[in-house]
Amino acid sequence: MKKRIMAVLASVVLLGGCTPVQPLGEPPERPDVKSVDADAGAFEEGGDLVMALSSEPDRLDPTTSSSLYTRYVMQTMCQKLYDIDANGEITPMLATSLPDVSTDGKTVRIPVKDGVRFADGTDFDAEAVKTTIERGLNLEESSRSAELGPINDVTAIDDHTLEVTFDEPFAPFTAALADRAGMIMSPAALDEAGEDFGDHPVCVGPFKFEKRIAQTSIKVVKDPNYYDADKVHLDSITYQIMSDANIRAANIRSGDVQVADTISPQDVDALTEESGIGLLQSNSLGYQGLTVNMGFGDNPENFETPLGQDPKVRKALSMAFDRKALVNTVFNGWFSPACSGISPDSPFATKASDECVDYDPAGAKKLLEDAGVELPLKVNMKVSNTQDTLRFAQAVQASTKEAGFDITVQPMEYTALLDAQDRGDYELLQLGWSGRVDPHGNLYTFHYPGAGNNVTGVDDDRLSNLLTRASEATDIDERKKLYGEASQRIGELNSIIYLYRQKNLTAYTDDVSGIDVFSDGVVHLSEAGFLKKDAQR
Amino acid sequence: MTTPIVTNTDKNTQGLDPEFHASNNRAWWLLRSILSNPMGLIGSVMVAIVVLVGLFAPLIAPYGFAQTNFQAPFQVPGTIGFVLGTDDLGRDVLSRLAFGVRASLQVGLLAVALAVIVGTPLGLLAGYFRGLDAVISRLTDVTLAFPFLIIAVGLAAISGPSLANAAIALGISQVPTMIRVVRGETMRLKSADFVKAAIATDASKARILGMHVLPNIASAIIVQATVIIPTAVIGESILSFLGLGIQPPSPSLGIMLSDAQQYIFRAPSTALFPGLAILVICLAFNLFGDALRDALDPNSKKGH
Amino acid sequence: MTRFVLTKIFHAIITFVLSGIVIFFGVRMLPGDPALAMAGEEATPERLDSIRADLGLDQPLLVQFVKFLGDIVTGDLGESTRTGLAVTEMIATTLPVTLWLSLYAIVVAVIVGITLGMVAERFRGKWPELGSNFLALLGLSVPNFWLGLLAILVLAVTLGWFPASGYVDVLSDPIRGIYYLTLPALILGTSLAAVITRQTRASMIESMGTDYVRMARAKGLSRPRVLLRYGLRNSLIVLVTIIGLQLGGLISGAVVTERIFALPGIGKLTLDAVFSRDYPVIQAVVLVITASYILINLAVDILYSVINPQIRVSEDAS
Repeated sequence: MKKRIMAVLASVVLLGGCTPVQPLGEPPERPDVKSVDADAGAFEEGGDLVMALSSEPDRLDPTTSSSLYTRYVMQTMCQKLYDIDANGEITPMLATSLPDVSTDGKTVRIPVKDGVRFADGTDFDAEAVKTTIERGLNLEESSRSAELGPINDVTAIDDHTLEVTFDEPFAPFTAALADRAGMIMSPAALDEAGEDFGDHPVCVGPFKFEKRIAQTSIKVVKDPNYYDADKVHLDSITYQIMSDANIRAANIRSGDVQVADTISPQDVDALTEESGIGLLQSNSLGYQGLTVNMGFGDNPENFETPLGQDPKVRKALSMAFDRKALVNTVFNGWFSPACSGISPDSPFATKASDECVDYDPAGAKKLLEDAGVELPLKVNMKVSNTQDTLRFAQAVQASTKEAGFDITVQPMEYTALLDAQDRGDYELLQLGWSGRVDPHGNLYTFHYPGAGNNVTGVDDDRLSNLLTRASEATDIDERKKLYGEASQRIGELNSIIYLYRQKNLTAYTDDVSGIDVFSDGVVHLSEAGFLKKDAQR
Repeated sequence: MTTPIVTNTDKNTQGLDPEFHASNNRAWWLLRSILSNPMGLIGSVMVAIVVLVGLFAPLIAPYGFAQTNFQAPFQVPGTIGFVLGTDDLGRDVLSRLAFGVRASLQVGLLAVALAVIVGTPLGLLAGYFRGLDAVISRLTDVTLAFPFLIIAVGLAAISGPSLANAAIALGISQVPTMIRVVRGETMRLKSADFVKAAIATDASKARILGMHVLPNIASAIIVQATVIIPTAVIGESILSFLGLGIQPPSPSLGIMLSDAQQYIFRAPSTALFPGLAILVICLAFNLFGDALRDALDPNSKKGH
Repeated sequence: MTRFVLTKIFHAIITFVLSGIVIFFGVRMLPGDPALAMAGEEATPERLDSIRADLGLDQPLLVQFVKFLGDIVTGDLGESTRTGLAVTEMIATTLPVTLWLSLYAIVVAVIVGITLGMVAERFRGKWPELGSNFLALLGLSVPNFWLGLLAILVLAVTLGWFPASGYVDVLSDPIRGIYYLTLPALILGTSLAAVITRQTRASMIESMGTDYVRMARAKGLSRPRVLLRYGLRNSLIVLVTIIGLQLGGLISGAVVTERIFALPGIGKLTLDAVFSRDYPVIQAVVLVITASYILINLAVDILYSVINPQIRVSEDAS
């Protein structure tokens, strides 16, 4: 017996005793894969598709919902006036064409589809659209009013044309209608359910709401009233809530679910090596970044610091870490560095917005010395205690030492962190933004004085001016140019130091097809279906 | 996870000579008695090793617990320079393990201290004065009605996650059990002859409790304390696992496990060592506690 | 007897009321604003105010407390601030999961615990006793969430014998339901099994050493019959007490087990609600947990007094 144990021990030592360090290599190129599709004839009609959902949606009410994951479920049962396509461009969905905007930019006309019915059988028309938009504007619990802009009036000028007038021109309006604000709800259902609409949502869509079990699942079934029902293959879709990334991965492996969103970069490589599992990948429109307190909140101790007061110090911090190396280590090379609030995949991306600061610890140290601060410069950084953020924060902490920073990481529960952010009770804070199609939603609210998400307290005339002009301009090239300049100005101010951009990683099993994931991360399952046996790869 | 309530079931100790406990030889006698029991010997050696690892963590660790090496994440155990491998940020697992053991012991000892300091006086009062008993017992009932993890999660969330707060939360969750043990023993001793004798001599109540009752229930308190340590160590790892305990970059066995859960497919070996460390710590104190109880209560020894 | 029961019931009611107070004020001591947690990325000041008004969080604490008491009495526990679903409905869907899991774990623990305890008693001083003792110690010492991780890695992912996660309703599909719960129940039952093993062994040894058992043996009753008739019966009484005492530990264990195996039970609901500051859900769930704990312990106390071991023993011995 003893001999055998000794033999086992010896072999462990021999096998593992002298492995040299295996250095981390450069990640390979990873081009986007946004869709998987098959010929119409390859689909088997019917079946229940199960998707593992990474986070439980909140209220299934387009007006009051504030969780992004709600969109994943709503996508199949509440169609919007507009949608985005693979290139991030806005395309009509329930509208028949892009809005017709008057030359002064204040009047917007939207033509909507004819011959469409809601899941409860009532007719879809401009009046219904008006009801939805007005609910977004006026309902007390609405999360949509800011997105809709300075609307003066909404009228249905005939059955299939809606007219919206604005106090000021508001270009991001179309993009808002390609998100939850543009999901049209059945007026009859609204009348009946009122604030409880979310318990049983009724809209136009390939599927309709069937039931929801809290914490567990949401089920939608094929809607016979849907105008394009020929393209729908499945009988039903069940969204199973699985908040742990490795549990989603395990369920994809076992085939218990066919689609899973937000696969962890730690699991992707192992997962895609298995046969029968495919991966969709696209860059997120959002970002993760460091928010600097420059004068927000009541406690001057938080912002009367070298970091809060001196743009040079902030610039030094931005130069102090190697974004590419950090992303490679922490996220296995799956995510990409971010240098501005506009994703390179956005149609608004320009050379100016893609520009990145170089990693230069020596230069950063010199900047700090020029600024006359005592080295190492102590900085307190609050982060949420979720795994990915914590890991990244620890990596940032370790790698900024060389440039002369001494960062204390203070992890907090996510809710407590939001609270600290809202009260301005922080010096430096790491938080992300999920991203919006229109750059307005990614820049204005964070950098315009007094805007909803401006928690840095940044108040820069040049930047404010650029952001206002960009939201009012109607010409896309003009807007692109202005947002590029705004990005560069933010790069000088460094009120938010952009860090990295996630990838939407969606796994699917090979027996299904017809799935799209575009840059907003929403998994489109409306035209998905099971493949016939002979059509499977 | 579970905390067995250990009570001295032997009714014969009622007449124990109070002077016996004051004797200096008592400690030696106890130690010899524990070491003469094979389980006790193993337990004592394990406790000693664990405590030494905790005390000398900085000497054992070849690197700092937060020292990253971005070029060498996920090295397998046995890699040159990294005996137990490295984690996701290229930190040395052995170093983090040593400091994690230290943190676990800190939490365990703090929690025990709290449970003893708060629980003993309340238990004595409840056991001796019938009027106070009603109040204190209702309060312990209330605390016991909350599962220990719910109390710990609630307190840790309220006070903000940190090592000290985790220890406080775990200590408080163990107070009611401590009160129950002390109360039961005190009630039993109240009717013992030597206490009755002391009452008859008009000794003050404080003197009776302090000089006659407390020394005789000390053994029960110590035994219960050895049970609390493993409970608190596991409790700490659970709280840290849930993000409510020790906060990174400070090392904790629970944090190492929750990290490991993330990349369990990529690097399964990272889940092995922290769990084993918790197991060893708890096993050490459980073995030691068993032997201690046997030594203090010769009657239960016939079980071995 | 009646007096005893009435006192116990009276105590239980006091305990329940006090826990209600602790829960209400405890929840409000949590840092972080539930309105912020709910508004997420769309947290404008106006929206926050409207959420606070909607949840009644702008009311004085005392008013909120009175409303809370009223809600308990009427049985309407409000709506989740996060999902807008009725809290009673959320509890109704999650409680059965935890109940099945716990029940399964108790059954496993009792079977394993009694077997190991009896083995230890039967082979006093031999290696099976040593093995049983060691297993029990191991069961007490192992962090069960770690065991859960290893079980998922080895039994579910590598060998594929069990599903890694998921829940199938036991009533609508018993076979798959039980299959899905097996791994979690084994993990949850570990420490309970260890406690039962130790107690069974101790109480068996104790009762086998008593005079009436010696007498029964002397009368010529075979060892197994004595074991069943006296030893095991005494152990069962001990068992009832242990399960009452260990209930808190079992629920704590369920919280962690449900998290590891992603089971939609009441433990996971509690954790999620704490993290998202869903006040109505935290209040209601913790209240239900404490209420069931108090009720079960009340039942155990009464049961214990009904089947008073002394009476039974003396009857049999005569």
